[in-house]
Amino acid sequence: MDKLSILIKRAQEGDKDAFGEIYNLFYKKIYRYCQFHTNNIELAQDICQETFLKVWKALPSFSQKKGGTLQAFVFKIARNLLIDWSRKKKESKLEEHLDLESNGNLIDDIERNATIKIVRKAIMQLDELEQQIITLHYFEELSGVEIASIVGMNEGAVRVRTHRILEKLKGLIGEENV
Amino acid sequence: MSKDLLEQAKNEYLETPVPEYIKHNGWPDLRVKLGNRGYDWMGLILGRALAFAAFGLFLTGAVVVSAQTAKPGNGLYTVKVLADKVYARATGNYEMAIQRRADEVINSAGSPSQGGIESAKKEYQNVLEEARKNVKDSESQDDFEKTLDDQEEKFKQELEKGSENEEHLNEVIRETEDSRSRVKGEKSEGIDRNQEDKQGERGKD
Repeated sequence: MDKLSILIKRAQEGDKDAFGEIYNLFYKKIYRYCQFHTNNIELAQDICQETFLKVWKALPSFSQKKGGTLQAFVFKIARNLLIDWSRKKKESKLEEHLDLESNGNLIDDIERNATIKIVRKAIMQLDELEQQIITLHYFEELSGVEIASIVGMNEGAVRVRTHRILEKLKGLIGEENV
Repeated sequence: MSKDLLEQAKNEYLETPVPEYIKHNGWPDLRVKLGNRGYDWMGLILGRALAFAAFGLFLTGAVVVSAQTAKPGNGLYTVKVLADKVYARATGNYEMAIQRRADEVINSAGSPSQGGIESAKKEYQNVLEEARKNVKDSESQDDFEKTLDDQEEKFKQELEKGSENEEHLNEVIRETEDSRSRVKGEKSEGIDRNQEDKQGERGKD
């Protein structure tokens, strides 16, 4: 049994220190994933923490026997929270727009770098599923199986979709860059 | 060009700075919020109880189903009779139970085993008695009489065939007639009583 499996087993039995080690293994990945999609440091922090709280609660149901990885399990929870946030954001779009203008300090300018700004702008033009697939595949370098389990598709479909999205993205970046 | 941009963006993504808060306080803050994961005894007991109940229900169902082919005198015959009784009591309809017991008497009459006919006869008498008591005050007395007529007819036909258990068949015919006449008597008593009540009321007026 590898070290991570031992940590998972201990955490499943209620060992908080073991869960702390799991947290340390994944929090940076989850944070940057959340930050990229929310473009807001505080929000990304909150979603990241909420993700691990949910992971703790759901951990007893996690099983490696079904071929799942803990990384995919954690990312799936983070993705669901991002989808919830995105829905709420759409519902209160006008409200949020006013907030942005009046409370500029809440929005963290993480777009210091021009390159990621261009790429994010292009990625944000994709639909939610495409955004998730490209981030997980290209930036986080997750395996096809892991992405498939996160987005609820089969591995073959993810592979085909990834190829198409990359082509689409290259086109969008080209347009942005002109 | 776009490939280079993607590569560059990826590097920037991977180097996303993690805020001080989450770096130093993320875990301690989260640790406090984590609930204890004690063993869920209640869940376990409830789960076991539900599983046990489901198994019990399945087992009962299986026994009742397999008992449907049981013949008088067999071990499962009691289960069959009990299932019919439960149905009759729940619905108030004794027709099916009476018919089945009567059929069993006829079938047992053709068999050399004495245990079977005795058992079938006893259950037929029991169901007649129970049905009679239950239909006494209900509007289904006519249906009950009709059911008894049908059974009597069946017994007589069996008798005409020349059964070895003639004595038993005669006994169940007598039982059937007795039940019918008692129901009729109770019915006419009830009618007479109603008429007397009405006359009494008129007299008062």
